[in-house]
Amino acid sequence: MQFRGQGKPSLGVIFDSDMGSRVETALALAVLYGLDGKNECRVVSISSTRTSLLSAAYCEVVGRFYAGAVSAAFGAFARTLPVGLAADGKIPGDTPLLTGPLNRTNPDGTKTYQHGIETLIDTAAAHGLIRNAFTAQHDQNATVVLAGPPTNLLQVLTLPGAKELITAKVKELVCAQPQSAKELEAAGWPTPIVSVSPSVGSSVLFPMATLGKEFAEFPAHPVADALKAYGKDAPTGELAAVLYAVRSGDKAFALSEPVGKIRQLMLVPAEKDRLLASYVELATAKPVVRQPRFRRPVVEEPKKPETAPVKP
Amino acid sequence: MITRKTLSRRTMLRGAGTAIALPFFDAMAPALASSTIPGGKPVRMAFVYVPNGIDMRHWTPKEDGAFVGDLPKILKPMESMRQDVTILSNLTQNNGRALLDGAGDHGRCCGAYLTGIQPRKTMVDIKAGISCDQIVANHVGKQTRFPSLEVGLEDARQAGDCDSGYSCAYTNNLAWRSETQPLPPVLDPRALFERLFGKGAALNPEERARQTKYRRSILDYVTGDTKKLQGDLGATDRRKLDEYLSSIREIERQLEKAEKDNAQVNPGMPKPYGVPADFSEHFRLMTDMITVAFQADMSRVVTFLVTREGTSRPYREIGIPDGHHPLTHHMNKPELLDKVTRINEYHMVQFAKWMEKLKGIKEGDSNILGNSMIVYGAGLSDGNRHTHENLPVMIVGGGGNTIKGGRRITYRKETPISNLYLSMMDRMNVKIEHFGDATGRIDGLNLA
Repeated sequence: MQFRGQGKPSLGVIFDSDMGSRVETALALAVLYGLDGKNECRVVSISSTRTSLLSAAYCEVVGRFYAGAVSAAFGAFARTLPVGLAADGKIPGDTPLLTGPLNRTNPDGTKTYQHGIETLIDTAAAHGLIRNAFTAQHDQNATVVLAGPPTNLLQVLTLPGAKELITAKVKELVCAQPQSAKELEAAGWPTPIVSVSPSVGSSVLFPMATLGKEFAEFPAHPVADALKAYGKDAPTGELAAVLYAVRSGDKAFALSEPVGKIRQLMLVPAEKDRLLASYVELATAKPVVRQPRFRRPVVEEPKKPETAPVKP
Repeated sequence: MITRKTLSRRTMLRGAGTAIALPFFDAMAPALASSTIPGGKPVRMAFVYVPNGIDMRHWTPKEDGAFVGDLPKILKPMESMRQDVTILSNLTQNNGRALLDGAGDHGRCCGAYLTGIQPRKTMVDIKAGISCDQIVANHVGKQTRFPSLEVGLEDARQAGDCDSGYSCAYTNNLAWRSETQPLPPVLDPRALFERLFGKGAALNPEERARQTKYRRSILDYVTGDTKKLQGDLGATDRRKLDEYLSSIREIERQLEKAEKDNAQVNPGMPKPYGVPADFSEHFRLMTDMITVAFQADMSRVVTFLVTREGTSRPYREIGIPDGHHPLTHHMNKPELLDKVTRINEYHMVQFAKWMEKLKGIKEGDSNILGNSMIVYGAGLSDGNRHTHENLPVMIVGGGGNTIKGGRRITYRKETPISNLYLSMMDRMNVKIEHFGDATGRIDGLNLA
């Protein structure tokens, strides 16, 4: 919750993806929460176009891992925001990226990662959720990161008043997939669009070796489990989309001249090593659990015994 | 050969300064179609609003779908009408949330409740949006004497700060004729009575006392018309007319009693003329008049603000001297939570009595409740944390045989409550494409 007189909060990021289709989406979400933990942004909406409950469940698992069941980071308003999920379309099969972490069990047989998504009613309709997230942002203080097909965002555009709302609130849209950028431009997306060049993802790979180093510090980590299920170094195009969205001034990135509304995001070759170090640092950052800020239970403290003042 | 002449649906009993509309009689239907209501079923829509959220632990049935076992504690008074009840879960009013406007959830949630618009945070140049009841009133209101009725029990102040910089116009009104014009609820039963039945100018208390001294009942003014009408009616309709006029007389008696009782009330209390000192009596009196208005098809659209949002009204009559609003910030203390639940139950007891009354009045081949959609709910769910999602929403009635009751329907999270209003407007034959923050219409209400 943002109150007048408290200054502008950090950038609000709306993250829409087809979580479960590629390992880099999970890593990108981890990077996003890493940035949130540093107060460089706020995760204000998470949604998936992959019409699978496991996709939504995995998003919630990652959210809970980073932010606790109720937190300012995940919930934004001291409440647990639901995960948005596209409900129409072809239901895809389960992937090891999802089943690996979600089926992981503890020695006593219980699931390692808990979530509350059993049926569709445990999720939100993505377009309404995203629209609501826009309404709670200061003007030009939100960015949308799209790591997947544009299904949900196209639906947002159909809502009355949505284009005006997006124009007011959203600084830019960053698409990890060029085709999505083109479709949204054609549909009248009103803000500037940045599209990650296809070469960006393959030129820097997220190392499997982190499983034995940085990720090894965690007894269980849902993103590490997805990487493990993938089994090799992962492309980083979606990580670049997230990092650029929040740190648009990072010298590792360069933009092309716009064609229509779209500019291409490219990497500066000399900055690749530093960029990779940033990805690893952010994706493996420890969760920063925020305290719920609203109406905490009052704990009555016992009265201190009266003592004579100590003379200096 | 059938020669029976059909009685006009617009027939009224008239007398000096008085015009009493009539309920539906068989004689108003075409011959050989005694259970058919001319012009189709008059479907009614009403919104009954209670403040400060509801204790959701005792509101929500455990299972989705058809009710199994007893209804939860707060809904218990509705047990005898459980097949008329539909509980809707997960509906949200996003525009009641802060959305950068800071504190003031009570002002916002009530101002946004039927408008679907975030009210402007101000005490001067108020702005919300036209409420869904008024959209319907604009469409169907011409068919009835009153396009809509706005009723309340507590506070009609329209100015001043009622919540963190939100005008009292937001906490004290449900209906908005336009984005800047709320419709204040009528709190005084006598004022409502005269609005419904009296055509003369409003009288001040002295004039009213003088009038009361010389007459027994408003029915006396229409004696001639009544006798004439009785001669035109069959036995069933005559009984129906007697019951109807008796119910009006009963309201008059209640009013007289309230006015007599009020003479003994401490004059220091800012209470309008004729308002009963007892909450349940006040509730009954107002809802009795709404019932008559429905019965005589005087209006099909009602908003009823039981008490104002954020109210600190105590409920001493049920042993709760604490203010309602402070109690809802219970910090999960069991003894405070228990009091909140009891207030919620108390409200529901009054509401259930009204619903029973509506159900008991036959109309065509159904009853008034069957031809109504009465939404009971609040603009907050958890009054302690001021949450605007998963609002307590109950629809009572069949909406003219279009709503299947006796069940709980859970929607996807964050589903706008405006979606429900669009679906209700459809049932009132008001077809509009968009309302408030709606993203579409809700599924699952239908009979199928």
